[in-house]
Amino acid sequence: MRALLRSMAPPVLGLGFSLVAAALLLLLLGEKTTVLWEALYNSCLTDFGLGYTLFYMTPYLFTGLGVAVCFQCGLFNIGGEGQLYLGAIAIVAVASVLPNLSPWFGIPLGILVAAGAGGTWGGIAGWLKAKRGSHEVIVTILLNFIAFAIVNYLILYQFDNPNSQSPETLDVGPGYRIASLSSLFGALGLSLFDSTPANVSLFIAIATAFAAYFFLFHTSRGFALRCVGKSIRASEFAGISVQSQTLLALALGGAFSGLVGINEVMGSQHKVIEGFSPQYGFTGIAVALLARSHPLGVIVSAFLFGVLQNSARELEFLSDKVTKELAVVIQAILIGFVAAQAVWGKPFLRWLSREKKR
Amino acid sequence: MAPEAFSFASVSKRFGAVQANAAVSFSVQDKSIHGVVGENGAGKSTIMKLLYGLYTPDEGSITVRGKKVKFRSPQDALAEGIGMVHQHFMLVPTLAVWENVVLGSEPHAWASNRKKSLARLSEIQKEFGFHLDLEAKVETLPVGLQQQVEILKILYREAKILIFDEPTAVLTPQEVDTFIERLRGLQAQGKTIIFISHKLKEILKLTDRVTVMRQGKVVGSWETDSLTETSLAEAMIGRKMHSLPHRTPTPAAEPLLKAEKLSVTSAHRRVLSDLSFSLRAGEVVGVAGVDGNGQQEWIETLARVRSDYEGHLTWKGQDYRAWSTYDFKQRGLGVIPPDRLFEAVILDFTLSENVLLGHHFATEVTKGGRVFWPQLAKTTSDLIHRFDIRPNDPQARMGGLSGGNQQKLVVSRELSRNVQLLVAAHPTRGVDIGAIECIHSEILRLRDQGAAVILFSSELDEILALSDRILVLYNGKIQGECTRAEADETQIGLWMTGGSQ
Amino acid sequence: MIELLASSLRLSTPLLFAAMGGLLCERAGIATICLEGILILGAWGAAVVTFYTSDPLLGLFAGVLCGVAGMAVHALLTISTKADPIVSGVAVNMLAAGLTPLLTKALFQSPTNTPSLALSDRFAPVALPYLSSLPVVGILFVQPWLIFLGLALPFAVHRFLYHTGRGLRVLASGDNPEALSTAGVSPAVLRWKMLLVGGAIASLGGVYLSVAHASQFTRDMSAGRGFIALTAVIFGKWRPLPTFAACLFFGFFDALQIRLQGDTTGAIPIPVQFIQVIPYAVALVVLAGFIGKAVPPLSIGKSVHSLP
Repeated sequence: MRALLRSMAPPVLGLGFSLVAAALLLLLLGEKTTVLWEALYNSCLTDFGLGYTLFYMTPYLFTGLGVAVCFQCGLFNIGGEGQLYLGAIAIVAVASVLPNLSPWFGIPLGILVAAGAGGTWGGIAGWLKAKRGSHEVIVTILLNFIAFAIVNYLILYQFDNPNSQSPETLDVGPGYRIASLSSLFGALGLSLFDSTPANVSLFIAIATAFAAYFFLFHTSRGFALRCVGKSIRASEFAGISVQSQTLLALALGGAFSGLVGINEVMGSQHKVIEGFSPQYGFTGIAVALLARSHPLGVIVSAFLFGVLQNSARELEFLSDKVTKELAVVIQAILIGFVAAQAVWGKPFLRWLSREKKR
Repeated sequence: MAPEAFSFASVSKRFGAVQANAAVSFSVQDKSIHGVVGENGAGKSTIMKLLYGLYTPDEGSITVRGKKVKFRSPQDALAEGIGMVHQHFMLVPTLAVWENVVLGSEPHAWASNRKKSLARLSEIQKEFGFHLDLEAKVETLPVGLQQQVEILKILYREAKILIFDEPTAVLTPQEVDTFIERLRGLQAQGKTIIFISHKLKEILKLTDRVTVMRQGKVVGSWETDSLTETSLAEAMIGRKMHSLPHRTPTPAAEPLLKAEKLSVTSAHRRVLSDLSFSLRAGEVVGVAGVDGNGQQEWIETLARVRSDYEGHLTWKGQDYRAWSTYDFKQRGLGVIPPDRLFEAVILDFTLSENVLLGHHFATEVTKGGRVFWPQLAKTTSDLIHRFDIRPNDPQARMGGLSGGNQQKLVVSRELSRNVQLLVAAHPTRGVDIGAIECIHSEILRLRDQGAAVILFSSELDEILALSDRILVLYNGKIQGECTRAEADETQIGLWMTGGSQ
Repeated sequence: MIELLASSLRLSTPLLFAAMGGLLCERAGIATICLEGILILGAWGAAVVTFYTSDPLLGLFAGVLCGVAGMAVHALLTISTKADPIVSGVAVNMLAAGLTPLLTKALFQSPTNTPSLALSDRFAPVALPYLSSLPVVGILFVQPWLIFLGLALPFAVHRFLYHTGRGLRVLASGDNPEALSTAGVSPAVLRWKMLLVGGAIASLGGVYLSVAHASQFTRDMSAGRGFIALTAVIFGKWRPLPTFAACLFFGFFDALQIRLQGDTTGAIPIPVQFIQVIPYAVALVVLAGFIGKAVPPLSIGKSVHSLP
């Protein structure tokens, strides 16, 4: 119980701190702080708002896992952004080659190619790190730029929608579409999340998180991966191949990030729009950090980030002074606060345990 | 009586639960060589770091040349003429010798320092008889010369009191001799020298007075002339020394491990050349030698951490590379790595997880790639009981254990399976006496059960206590070889310095 | 051709400032993936204050102030609270990317850009004596003075690092801070100073972007240049002069790409994305160690294992 409290303290405090900071920022911008609470209320506790929150939560869950699994191996995956675009475009590609599959084949195939494309991209970084000793941070950043160029090229020249003014691809066929939550609940006779983009990808994401948890903490290979994250030398003496764990972690991370494509392409838009991601990949770092790289923690932390993202969107409607970037600022403060816990964490925990003794 | 250089008066320092120094009082005469001896963890380094301003005392006072001082940083200590050569050199490998020396006290902040520094340093070199190439990069220098750079650093800062923390640990016996001459020279030039060591011979040879420390306290200070090696050792350990246990001879048999012309090249340098050796069942072979003569590469090769060797290495007639590292470990290879904290354990993991390390596919705790934690906790509990490891909790974090308990866990893990070949590297480094005895008896028990053991240690005493046969490694070659019966300390010492015969 | 060179020079300048600022920080031992954010902050501060005051020099000071503030956050997190520099860098980048549109909206009702500046309010081209009157290449020497400053900077940084006492301390701080600390110099204080100086230099790249290169601040106007500058530093093996060359290289490909984008007369149309990819691909090949190995300052990048 104490341990749980101890691990929960930094994120919870960080969240409180960043919300206060956001409220102060609102005051500074000449806006009432009540709009913030209203937006938070709307995005957590209204049917429509929650639907959007869950929709935003899904990609954060995937990219958060993509970063977390690499953190566990002591690696930084800053390449989520590129990996997720490649995952998305891969679905469009396979859908254009095999347009008429039934959903029984199309959906698993789509999931597979999205994970495969992201995984390959992560795997390249993993290979460069493992075999050539390149630093994964800068490599994944460079791979992002290359991925953007490839995806933009494919959107504009290979899969472009000639009837559209904006750069986007053609729609994928019905065999590649994942049911929305509203139609799912509709089939059960419930009216939930109507006209929101929330879809069944969310469940896939949650299942992925559980799978990642099981892998990392209950299997031999997951243990080996975590060993490398803690000590490369000790892993070598234990007969663990640092190279293959590095490759595995970055490939897995890439695959998780690539799965963002299923939420976007199969679940909601049914196509790839240039620049669809509001930096899901980069924000994934914050998601993983807040969850202390624990896959199950990522579920909670992704939900929080979904709330933030959606609240910021709501704020744009509620206020004429604030833009949705407020979410980014809150996230930044949150990361900073959690990252700085070396300073406030220990004294705080000491204080916490003193309270207990009394 | 000669004037006093400095003195401690009831100085105490505590780190968390550890009382590193308790009411330490002693004084050192000006222009003398003063030894401070004690076992690992006796508080020698801590008391000197208090003098050097790296730590501040919790209680008590320090007096330098009759003046009470309160140092907040090494800078304050240097201002009073106190300099320290650390056990781990504080050098920037990528910079030149002169740059390392002037760093922090450069003549010019915003202009080139090269000319002025080189001129000044040449003077100092001449005065104290150093012959360093001032423009060489430090990373290209051998350890002995790097130490001279450290000394040059404090001479440049005109220190009058020079503290040396275990200075000979990294030196070959030959280098030790010239080093001792150098210290005498410095004394003749009017410097006061503090010599921290646990090597009694050097202390007796070099110092004027000795202070012995044990468990953070001062046992006493004596004129060196009044001491013998035995009396000093007993003061240091606090009891009579054990004699070596008797042992049965190794049964004659075919060697299990055989190496012919084993060579390793690392960073374009041949660090091991043409080693030929063998290892039989029921035999402990000790490898003596000063650290840095190729031990690390030899250990890594035998531990299967590196496989880029040339020549032949076989285990029971099979090529050493026939199995993966992991498989070999399951087939009876046990390794106690040289660096406990970085190579043997993971401090952030629990004891259970550390027991799993290196055996994460072992069938008694895993099935189909899945780890069964409750089973593992039971296995860990068993080891904890057998080796009396504290705390008795498989879920405790490794980082919370003392060095001795950590090492006992490592030994228990490596010996828990049916070990036929044990590579033990510095198995008792930084470990308390109780744990040393436990680890030594486990190694000998393993030998008596018929395993082959190869022991690497920089402590000659440990080698002599455990080995049936001794190899001496010098400069990547086996310089000499002898059996337990033939073992002669002087001869081994000679081999360690590269001498023959 | 000469136009292409001139354009390369213009596009290299923000990279040069960012890279030199980043290089100083990294040599002192702190990784700086926050350069992107520093560029954005510098560009924003400069554009806003120049708009209100019509004085680009005041704008420059404001931009530098914003950039230094951003770097101060990075320093606070990485040095004073020992946060991981990559995590902290991500936070600073997000802070910059979030705050600037928010404040732009508050000031100018539109989150995407600040109002454009009159030509006379921007940094005007200056002609270097003698050089600008050379035939053909003379045009290269009629530029805003920030460009000339950018060109001189690598030489200044080189001189500082390798030929002064203070530079020696910076090198030691990056390679073995413990040695520096036992020599009586606090690495923490030195790193704070270097980060503030590095932040000031890097933010000049942002100032250049909004007040010399363009005439307003637009959202995300740095467009990844901070990351490219960081790549240039690694490309240049953390040494000022090779980094200088790397910046010119990246600037050239940026110019080439823009030129091809506008040019549709070529017989074989090359998709512009292919050109865009070239510098990144080359950088990747270099990082993979196929063309020599880059060894970072020894104390950098150790912190990944200290993650929660």
